Amino acid sequence: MFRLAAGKIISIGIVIAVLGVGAATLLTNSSADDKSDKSGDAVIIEATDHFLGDRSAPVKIVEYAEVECPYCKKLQPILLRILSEYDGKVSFVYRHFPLTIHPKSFTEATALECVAEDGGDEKFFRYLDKLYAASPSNNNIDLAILPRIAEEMGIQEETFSKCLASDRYRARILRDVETGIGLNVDSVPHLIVVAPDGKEFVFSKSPSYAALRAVIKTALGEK
Amino acid sequence: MALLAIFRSGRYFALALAASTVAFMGIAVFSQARLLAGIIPDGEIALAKKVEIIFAIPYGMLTDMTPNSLLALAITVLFGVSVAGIVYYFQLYRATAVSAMSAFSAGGVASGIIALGCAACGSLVFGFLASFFSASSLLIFIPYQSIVFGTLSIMMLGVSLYLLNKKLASV
Repeated sequence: MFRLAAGKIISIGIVIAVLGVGAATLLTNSSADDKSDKSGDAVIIEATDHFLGDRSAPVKIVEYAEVECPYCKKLQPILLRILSEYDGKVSFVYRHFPLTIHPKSFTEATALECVAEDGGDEKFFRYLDKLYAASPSNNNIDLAILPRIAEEMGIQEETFSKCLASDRYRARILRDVETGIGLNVDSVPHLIVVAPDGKEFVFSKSPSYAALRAVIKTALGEK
Repeated sequence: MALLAIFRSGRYFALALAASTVAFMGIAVFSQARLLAGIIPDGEIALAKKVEIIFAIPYGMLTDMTPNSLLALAITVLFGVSVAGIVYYFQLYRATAVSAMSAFSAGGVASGIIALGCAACGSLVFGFLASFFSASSLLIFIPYQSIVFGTLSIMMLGVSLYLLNKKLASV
């Protein structure tokens, strides 16, 4: 009898522990979700968005990220793997969300835009990969390498440096940040998988390959 | 070590394993609470798909090992060990409490252990629950520096286990 009671107490304890964590998480997130529901914010794909893969792909992964975030860096190979596995079915949209705790990420976002000015989305994503590879993350990058990497990609250093020093992409980057705030992005990486019917699957934390693949399969209606 | 000795019994090993598994699933799944809040109430998504996504989250945490998933794993293993240790301690305490409190009901003894009957049990339970909650919630809520806080929480759980071990050794 006592054995049963002690067992019950522990079982209840475990359930309470797990439910407590879950309920607290849901409560914390529900306020953010409520805001989203009220404002009716949904991802709007824009002509100025940077695309990797087919723009007309039925499923789009919209990522809010910045180069100095270590989780974004770890997520990048997972995204590329998904894109290669679902070639033509999934495309990737990168949006800037430079965090104030990583001030250098704003300069990197500007550098990415300067590269895109010269070589479009193809060079934008090549440069992004190179930046992720070159940066040790957490604002530890030496910004002097930005023009060097651009030059390696065939971009004139002088043109690039002038662009980087200018303020012309500030509004473009802040526009991404604004759309992110409108979608309740509060940390990076933040992923929104947009299904063909417009349904959105939101990862507010970096997903694993398995979790992202399961969501992509669902978005595509695969069995 | 008194605490590890209890795992010679398959029953406590199974209990620790079950508690660790449940806790790991909880931490992993609720770390993507926003995704779940979107898919679970969605009537257009098949139940099988919902289950697949829910199970893919902890599976992915184990296959794509990151510092955070390692922390979650460590925390849940310590959680499982703590649960088994506390149950064992309850059993030991009960053996003496039952004879002393034979006039009381089973429920009374059990609740007494937690509330007033065994002050030491109460502090153990609350200490370990506090450590677990702080550890797991920090992993879930804090997007940055979670490794630092997670490590601190593991140390708290370690202290909680050390105290439990001392109590078991003194019985």
